[in-house]
Parts: sequence; structure tokens; C-alpha cells
Amino acid sequence: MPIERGLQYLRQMQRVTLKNLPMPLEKTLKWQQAHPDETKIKAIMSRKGPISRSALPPYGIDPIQAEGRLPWILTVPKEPYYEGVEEARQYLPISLRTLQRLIDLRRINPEKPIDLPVLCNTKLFSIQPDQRQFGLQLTDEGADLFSTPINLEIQWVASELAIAAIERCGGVLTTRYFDPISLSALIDAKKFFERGEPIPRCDTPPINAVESYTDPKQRGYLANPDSIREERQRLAQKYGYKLPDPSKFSSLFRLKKDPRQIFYGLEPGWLVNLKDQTILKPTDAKFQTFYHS
Amino acid sequence: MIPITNFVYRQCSALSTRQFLIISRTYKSNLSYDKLFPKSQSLDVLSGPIQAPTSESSGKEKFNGFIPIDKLDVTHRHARGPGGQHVNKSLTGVEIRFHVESATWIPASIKPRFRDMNHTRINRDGYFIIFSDETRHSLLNQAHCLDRIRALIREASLVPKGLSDEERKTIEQRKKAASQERVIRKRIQSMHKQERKPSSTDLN
Repeated sequence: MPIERGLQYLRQMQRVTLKNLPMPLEKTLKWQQAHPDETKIKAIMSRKGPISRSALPPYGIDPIQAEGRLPWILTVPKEPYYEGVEEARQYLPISLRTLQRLIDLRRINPEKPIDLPVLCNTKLFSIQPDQRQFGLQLTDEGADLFSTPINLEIQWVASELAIAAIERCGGVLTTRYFDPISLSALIDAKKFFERGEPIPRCDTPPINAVESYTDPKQRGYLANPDSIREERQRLAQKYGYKLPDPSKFSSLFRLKKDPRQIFYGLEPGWLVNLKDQTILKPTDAKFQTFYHS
Repeated sequence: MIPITNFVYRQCSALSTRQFLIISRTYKSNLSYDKLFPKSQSLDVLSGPIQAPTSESSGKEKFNGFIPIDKLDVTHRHARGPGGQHVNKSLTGVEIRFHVESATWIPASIKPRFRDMNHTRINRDGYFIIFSDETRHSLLNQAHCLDRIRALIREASLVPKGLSDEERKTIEQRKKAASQERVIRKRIQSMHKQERKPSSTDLN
């Protein structure tokens, strides 16, 4: 490089490094890889390798860099049908047939409201909240056999037939959401009380569940009672049965939990002491506002 | 299917203290039902006003959709087809019958048309019969029968619109024009055929 030009650079440029100066073109590794020279081409086109064996990788992948193998991102298979499996909610099935059987064998009392702790106390279901299990779902097997009026609270219903089978006998069905902390309290209520924790306040359902829990067709607990009444009438006309007289129901049938309440008769925030047979209630204002919000 | 008989439970008419406490306690959070639905007519799911029809369409022109189930004769029969022991033993097929003349829930304006359109389903005594064994559940088969009854009533209630005056005029005009054109074509064809024949004027 001529001296004058070099001094000019020194005067004008802010910073002078080896990389800044216009030196004769350096053959960086990147450039060399893009422009293989004659010897390299000959080596590639030799008797061996993916080019000579017509086993080129898919378009877009450099055969020289691939070194005869597929890149890792292509060797690992795609399983798009498993998308969302980590977030999916699971519900253990309980059929109408098992329900009727439990009632016949007197393991469940149909005159009292049937909800999750009642069904878990039969020890037929092992619900694991840490495995993304959110409760029980009602299936329609045994819809023709079912013949007892019950007040049932379940976490999911997939078929209209199951709802019709319960309402035909004069029962009531609601679908109710429990978050994992409340669920662990409900599954084994005695164990939960022995832990000495206050009864949790149930959360509202996640956004992708709100639609079904506000749907009167699913008998969601957040649905408008007027719409639920319409749906009951619609099902009665569709499946061909008569809805029972509302005055014949006992007051236990009309029992419904508040959306924040987990146990019938117990409020969130209360501490149940099984040993001394007492209940401790919070008196502090901040706890009261929280548990009533 | 023969229903399983339930054990008889001791009916407690007087509530125990525990049940009384459960019912009398009213815990209300910010999400209680009276706050979520302040304008609802009745918060009770079992009793309250319903907008859907709950009684027959009383002599009106239009069928309001209500079918009184106790006026229908529902029998469970054997279903047909394959299925082994289950289909042989269980009565999952559902047959619904009702006397057409005494069915007050079908409006009188629809009834004659209904009878004509479904004369193959009505027997000599005047009973409309429909049978379904599509599914394994008798409840679903019953729903299928009722759905078909509703569809048949709807078909009978649809009166064809008929042609308007304008439409009739245009149809007549087109007929006339078509027949005129046909006559012209005939005349031309007959002229062609006459020209083929030898005529007496040519040779002179």
C-alpha cells in the first residue's frame, strides 16, 4: 500500500484496525467454503461421497458441509399431532353405568348432592393434579340403565346423551371447574384437613375453558340459569321425556356452590380442626376481603 | 332393557342439623350468582320462566314445536341387524305411535296434508307408526323418531309458493313464441321438400 495513501487514512479515519483498512481481499474461511478451489472440487467429485452416490441431501443443505449425513434438525422426527399435549387438561371418565352401580350398592347416597369428594371417597378414582388431571368427566355408557334422580357435580361432559339421561330421571347436572390446589383439597378431604391449611378459594377457569364453563349446553357453573332452563326444556323435547315438577325437589337438590366455594357448607379461609372438632375462621379484615372476593 | 330395581332408601322428612346448617349458610363471594346475573329472572335452574314453548300449539296455524310426550305411545322392541347377544336380548329399538285424528298438537291446517304425505305410515285404525333402531341406546333412538316426526310435520306445513302473475305471463309468452318458431321451421322444411319434387311449371 503506498505511503501517502496510508497517511491519508490515518488522518481521515476515526479508528484504524486491520479490519478497517482496504487490504487486498483476504480469503476468510467463510469465503473459502463458498468458493472451493480445484483440488477440493476434485476431492468432492471423487469415487465416494453423497454426490457420486446420488444421495444428495434435500435442497437448501450444502452436501459438503453435511458430510454425507443429514443435519440433526432433519434426523429428529416431527410429531405435530402432539402439539399442546403439555397444556391439555385430562379428566378421568366415570360412566352412568358405574354411577348407577354405586347407587345400587349403597356406596353413594343419591339423596345428597354428589360431587367430587363423594366420588373420590369411593376410592375408585385416583386423580393426580400434578399429571394435568382436573377431575372427572361423565360418559354416556349406561344411559338406558340410569334411573335415579341425583344432583351431580362433575368437571366435564362430552355427550348430550349423558346430560339427557340424568335429567330424564329428574336429576340436575352441573359442570364445575377446580384449579389444581382446590382439587388436591377435594380429592382427599380428610388428609387436607389434617394438613392444617385454610380452605382455598377456587380460581376462575383458564381462558380456553371459560367458553365451555359458561355454556348452558354443557351445564357450566358460570352459565346463565335462564339459558340452562331453556336447554333443559330443549333436551326434554328432543329426547322425549317430561321434566319433573320443580316443587317435588327437596332443598338439598337445589343446593349449589358459590363459584369460589369448594365444599358444601364450608367457606374458603376457614381452618377445620378435626381433632378438636372446631372450625377457625379468620377475623382480620384483609383475609375476609380476600376470601370474599 | 329391564331396568335395575333400586334399593329403597329411608326417606328422611325432617332434616338433620348438619343438612340444615349446609342449607342455611349462604356464602357469597364477588362471583356469586346474583352478582354475575343481576338481570336474570330466576337464579334457580329447576323452576322459573322459560321462553321455549311448554304447551301445545292451541289450534293456531303454525306448529310451535312442542310434542306432548305423554300423548305418544312409546314401546321398546327388538332391534334388527347384527350385534350378537346384545342386540338379541336388549330392547333398544323404539317405536312411537299416535292416533292422527285425535292428535290435537298437530294444527288442523296441516293435518290433511300430513295424512296424505305419510299415508304409508298410517295404519287402518288411523295410528301413525314410526320405528328406529339406528343406535345402541334406546334414548338416542327415541330422539331419532321424534326428530323424524318433526321433519315430517315441517314438510307437511310447507305450502308451495305458486306462480305470480308476472311469472305466468312470461311463461305464456315464451310458449307462444316457441310455437310460432316451430310453425315457421315446419313451413320452411315443407318448402324444401316441395322444391325437391318435379313441378309442372318447370318444363314449360
